[in-house]
Amino acid sequence: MGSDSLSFGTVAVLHAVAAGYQFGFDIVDATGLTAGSVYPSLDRLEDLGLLRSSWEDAGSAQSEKRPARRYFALTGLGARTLAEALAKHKTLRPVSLKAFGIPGLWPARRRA
Amino acid sequence: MNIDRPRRTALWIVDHAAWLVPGAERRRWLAQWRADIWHRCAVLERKQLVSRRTARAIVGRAGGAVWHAAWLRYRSGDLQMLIHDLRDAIRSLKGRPGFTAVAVLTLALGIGANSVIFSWIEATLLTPIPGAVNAGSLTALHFTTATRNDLSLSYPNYVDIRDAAVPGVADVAVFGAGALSLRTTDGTERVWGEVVSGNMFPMLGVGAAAGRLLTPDDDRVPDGHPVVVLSHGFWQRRFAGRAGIIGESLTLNGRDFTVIGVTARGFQGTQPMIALDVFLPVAMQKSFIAGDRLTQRGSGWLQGLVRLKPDASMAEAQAGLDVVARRLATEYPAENTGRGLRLFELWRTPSGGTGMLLPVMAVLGGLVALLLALVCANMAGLLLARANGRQRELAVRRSLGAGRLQVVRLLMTESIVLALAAGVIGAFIARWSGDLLNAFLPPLPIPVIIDAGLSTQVLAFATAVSLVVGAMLGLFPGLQASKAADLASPLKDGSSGNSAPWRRGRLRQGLIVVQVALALVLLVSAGLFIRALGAARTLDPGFQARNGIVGAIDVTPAGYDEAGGRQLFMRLTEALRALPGVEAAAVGQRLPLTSLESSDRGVEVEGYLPATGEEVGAFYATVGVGYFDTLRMPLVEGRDFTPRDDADATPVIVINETMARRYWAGRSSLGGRVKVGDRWLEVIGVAKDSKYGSISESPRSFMYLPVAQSWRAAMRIIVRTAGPPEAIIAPVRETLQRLDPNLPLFDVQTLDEHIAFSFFVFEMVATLLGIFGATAGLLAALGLYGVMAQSVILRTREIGVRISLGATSGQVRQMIVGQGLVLAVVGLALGVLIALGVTRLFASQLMGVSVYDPVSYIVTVVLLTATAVLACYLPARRAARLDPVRALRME
Repeated sequence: MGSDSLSFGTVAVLHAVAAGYQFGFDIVDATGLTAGSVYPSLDRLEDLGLLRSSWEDAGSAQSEKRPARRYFALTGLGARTLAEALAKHKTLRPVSLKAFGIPGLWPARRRA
Repeated sequence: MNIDRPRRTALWIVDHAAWLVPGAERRRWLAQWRADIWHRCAVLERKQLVSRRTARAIVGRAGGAVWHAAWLRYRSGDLQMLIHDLRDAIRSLKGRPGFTAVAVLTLALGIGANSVIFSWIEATLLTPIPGAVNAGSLTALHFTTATRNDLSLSYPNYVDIRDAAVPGVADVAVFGAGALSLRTTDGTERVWGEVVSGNMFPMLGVGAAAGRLLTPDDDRVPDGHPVVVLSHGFWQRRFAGRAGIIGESLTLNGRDFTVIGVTARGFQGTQPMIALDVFLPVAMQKSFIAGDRLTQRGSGWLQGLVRLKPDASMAEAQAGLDVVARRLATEYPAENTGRGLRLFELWRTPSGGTGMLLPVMAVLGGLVALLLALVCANMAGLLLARANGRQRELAVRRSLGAGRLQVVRLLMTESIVLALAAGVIGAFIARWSGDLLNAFLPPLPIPVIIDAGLSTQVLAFATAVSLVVGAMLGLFPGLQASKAADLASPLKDGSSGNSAPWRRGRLRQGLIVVQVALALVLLVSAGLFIRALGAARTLDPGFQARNGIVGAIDVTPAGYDEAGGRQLFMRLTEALRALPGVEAAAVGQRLPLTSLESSDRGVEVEGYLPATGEEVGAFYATVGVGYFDTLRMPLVEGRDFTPRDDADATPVIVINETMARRYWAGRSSLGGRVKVGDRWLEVIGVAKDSKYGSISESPRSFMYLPVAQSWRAAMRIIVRTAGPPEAIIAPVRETLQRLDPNLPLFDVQTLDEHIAFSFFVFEMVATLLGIFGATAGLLAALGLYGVMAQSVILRTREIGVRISLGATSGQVRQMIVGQGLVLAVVGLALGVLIALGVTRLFASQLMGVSVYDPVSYIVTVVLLTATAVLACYLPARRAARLDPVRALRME
């Protein structure tokens, strides 16, 4: 899966998840995109294998008397795709992908 | 700020968007969204970040859920299927441009007519107070008696009602509308305005476009706080939207008023359809109409509006007002005995334009619905014929694996596309019709504006009607054509459905019968209204003058007192009579046939003992000497007013025949006495009955008071001429100018124009129904033609056999026409039965014509029969000319 076919909005969603925003509304806040575009992006990224989603532990959610939320996490493929995309989209803030074994310097430094 | 409401709204949106989500994913989707919303709300609450902005953001997010759901649906492929279906349908319709054009135009007629009437109803009845917030909880308040339900409120009674804590009632406000004269640099100009109670604008929730609006504080000191609010329209028209107008002063009725603000755009007053210019506090009443009305409990002149509390029902408020009415009757028996208070939904307000238009719109709405039914029947026939003709195509589709559902879906998509295309045209027709409605309005003395046309509601209405009609029309032939039994035969036998043509035609024949029946109902209705219009034109309005003009003057703003005003009226009348070409002239408060304004009052009649609960009262007008002669309104008994009936003479009165009959049954009323207010007046004459408000009114008691004894500053000048009345307008104006340059003449009309107004509603209804009826007749004829033409084609072989066995062409023609006529006759009979029932619903609208009017029925039946014969004759002729050899060879 090349990063070329991903729109900037989709990359931004991927980037937000990588930066630690796990839940739909938080990702909407982090990206500044509309919910109407973030949620479909999340589904699509999951279909592409760049994200995986799980549900909060029902037991702990119930003990706090709230419904369990769906949360998203980066996959290895997602991390590699993001790394590739960040080389192109230079405006996004640096994010560490060390957990996925990707060292590096993102985004590429602005040219003087 | 509470998070509960936005949370509830957001969850509601999500729950309803869920049906868009494909079934397999729905539960998961719903859980995700509900949890996210729930969690975000909890966080906001915990961190105390709940504000209007964050609440809006939550609801906005829920809006995103709709997109998400739609996207999932699209991804599942169903939407692509729909798009595919649409493309298929459009391609198929394009392949038959003739059929498509006829179908779209036919449907557009039905949907267009309904959109037109809906847009009128929407503009007149559904948005009675444009610009008011939450108009659903606004109601109208009137006093009632045993016989009337449209009486106005007096100011003291209003204050008591307002200050009573009535359960369910949030606030009560009043208004009274009328004309004022505005002093301009070069004379005076007539403007239209309202006095409103100080709580009116806050209660309606109307905002200011500039400055501020009236508040209760502006309405405290009687005659002491002259401020005025302008309507947005007036501000733009008269002052070009100049912001500096705030704080300037306007001279209205001779008094300086400070402009404090302009109402928000769109608001034009508290009465439907009437666009006002200025709004004054009720406390300034003395500058608005004569007399001191703020203290007189018996003088009803204000219309009430009631804002119900949220969640309160009208019944609850009504029960509370009943208690108030009883209390008012006990505390002030002289003015309030026998009177009740009654709430009305705004669209049912018995007074004003609403009361006049409601029955008319009901008739029009009902009849266009019938027209739509007819259009549907017509289209159903057309689509059935088309489905029959397409059996091979559909069978091929099915044999290639298309399910029954898919075939139904295809046909439904086609008819929905047709209906939507028709809906677009219909919506445009509605847009143009807004001007049409205003074109029907004759020149009026009041600023009537009907803002009909293409609003969101009208668009939604046209779309909804199109969708329903389209779906219904497609489902029907779709199911028929997709029947499993039909699968094999059309493929086998080459021709397009030879089997049992008449059996398959039965449905279409039924549709023809329905169409003819509905066309008859519409045409009979149109006929009745046209006949009623004709009858109304010949009705005697009670006065014979036709050549002449009428104009309005008001002497108060020019600074006249009672004595000076009387002098002026006398000198003016004399000067006018001296003009060449003038036969007679007089002043009078109002002419006969003046709708939208009427005054009546309770009186006492000497020697007449009213039954319990009976109201003794009469409508009245103040008139000058020569009024009856000028209008050519004969006196049947006694004498006219003379200049000697002045302030010092015995107070006198002229009554009409109905009043004389009612209170002096069998005796002469001359010399009888009537107590009006606190004076006894002697009857000196009896005038012929006249139509005072509308041509359709029933006879009412009426009395004429001489202006010399019963002062009135706002009068009409009536001038009867020998020749064309238009020529006299300029000399009349000059005469008035010569007498007093400060006295403008308003609302000049010829008597013909004045009379025409009373016919305009009739004319409008009759014209529209005529158009609808003609359309209906034409559609039914086309439908009949279509059925007969197809039947001839299907029966080619049979007819060929008949001809080869010796049937003459005349016999063949007769057979075909006869069969068609059977359908028509059955339809006509059914139609007559329906019409007899339906027309009774609007019997009250038809004066002078019985709903059983034989002329309307006979003309309609003859017209439709002739049309039917023609529609059948053309296919019959074709059948008769068949070459039997070729017909027999034809498969």
